[in-house]
Amino acid sequence: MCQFCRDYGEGKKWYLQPKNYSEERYKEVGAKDKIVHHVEHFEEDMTTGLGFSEKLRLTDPVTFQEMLPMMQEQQRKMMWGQIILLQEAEQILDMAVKVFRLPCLCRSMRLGRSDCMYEFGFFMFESKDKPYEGYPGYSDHSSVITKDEAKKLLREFEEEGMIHTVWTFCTPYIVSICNCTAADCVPVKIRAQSGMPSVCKGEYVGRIDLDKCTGCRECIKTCNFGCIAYSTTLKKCYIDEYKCTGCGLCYSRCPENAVVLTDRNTMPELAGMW
Amino acid sequence: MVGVEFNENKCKSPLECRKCLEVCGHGVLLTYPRSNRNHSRDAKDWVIQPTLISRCVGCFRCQEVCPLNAINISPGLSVEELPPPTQGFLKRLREFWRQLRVTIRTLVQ
Repeated sequence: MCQFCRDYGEGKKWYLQPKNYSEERYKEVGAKDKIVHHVEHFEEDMTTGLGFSEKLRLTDPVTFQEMLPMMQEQQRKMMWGQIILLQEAEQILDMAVKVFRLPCLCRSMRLGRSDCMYEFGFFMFESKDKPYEGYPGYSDHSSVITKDEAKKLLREFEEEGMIHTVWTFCTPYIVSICNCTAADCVPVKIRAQSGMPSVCKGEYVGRIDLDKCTGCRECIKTCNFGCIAYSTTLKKCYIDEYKCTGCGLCYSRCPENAVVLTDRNTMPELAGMW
Repeated sequence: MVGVEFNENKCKSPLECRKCLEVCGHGVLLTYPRSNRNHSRDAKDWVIQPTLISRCVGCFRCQEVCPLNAINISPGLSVEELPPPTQGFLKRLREFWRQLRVTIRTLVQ
């Protein structure tokens, strides 16, 4: 069980708990003001923090290793994400009262573009507020969409090869679902390229049913983390379960339905690997 | 390791050009707006900063693509030779430490 499920989910999946989306939570942590402030300074804070830790890692690795848990703890308190499946993202959208289509903050920092509309914000209660209110250019692009439109878009994003993530601002209040790729998004890129836990892995691990696998390599094309290898001798694909983040892309892409998703907690070696 | 130097004075409008950001596959360069942007998205207000410098492979693509020669890549730099942090960086570092202290205090309470 991950730290978040223990602290905020009473042992179940924390992102499926309605209380982490509730009005009480939103008011209780003073989330609104903090979210507005955080969104307003998002790129600046992230660039400063990342630049600082990178300089420290290069010049003073010992201090960096000592400070790393503290920095991660601070990041978890402020903003944290976890990879989820398409079906779970749809479940979350089902709970919502109002869904917004928003610009992705991370792509704004990485590519300097505010028109990457890959993020869904939502409220699970009646509210006149807008998520990402402080974000410049908010009114230019964002819009209120229906749940069905949101689900259709989610599926389109999945087709394009994006993974779905939930994000908190002022943990544990969950503000949005984002659709990320390893090439664009900073936390997913760091996770994919250096293995640093910048975003939590999902609750699942993929495994390939070798009787069904025909070796078409569709799953290799879609994996953002490069954790699938192809055996030329046996003409089968193999998932590296240590690297697998449980995003479910290969599961939905496989034409033979050969990918099986198992709960991470049932596998002893992988249970604690987030 | 590779030294990435970005001349903020030479770069006129990062958000309109974006060439170096788009060409970098490792996300070494990140962009952010200077403070007090007052809810505006003025392209002149944004700055590009080489952030994830340990990820730079020294492919020189950003240096080649920049029309204003604002980027300078120096490969084969040892860690001791890293350029000293600029004034802006020190300022932001102080701000980061301040925030960290506040967080630790709230955590302790």
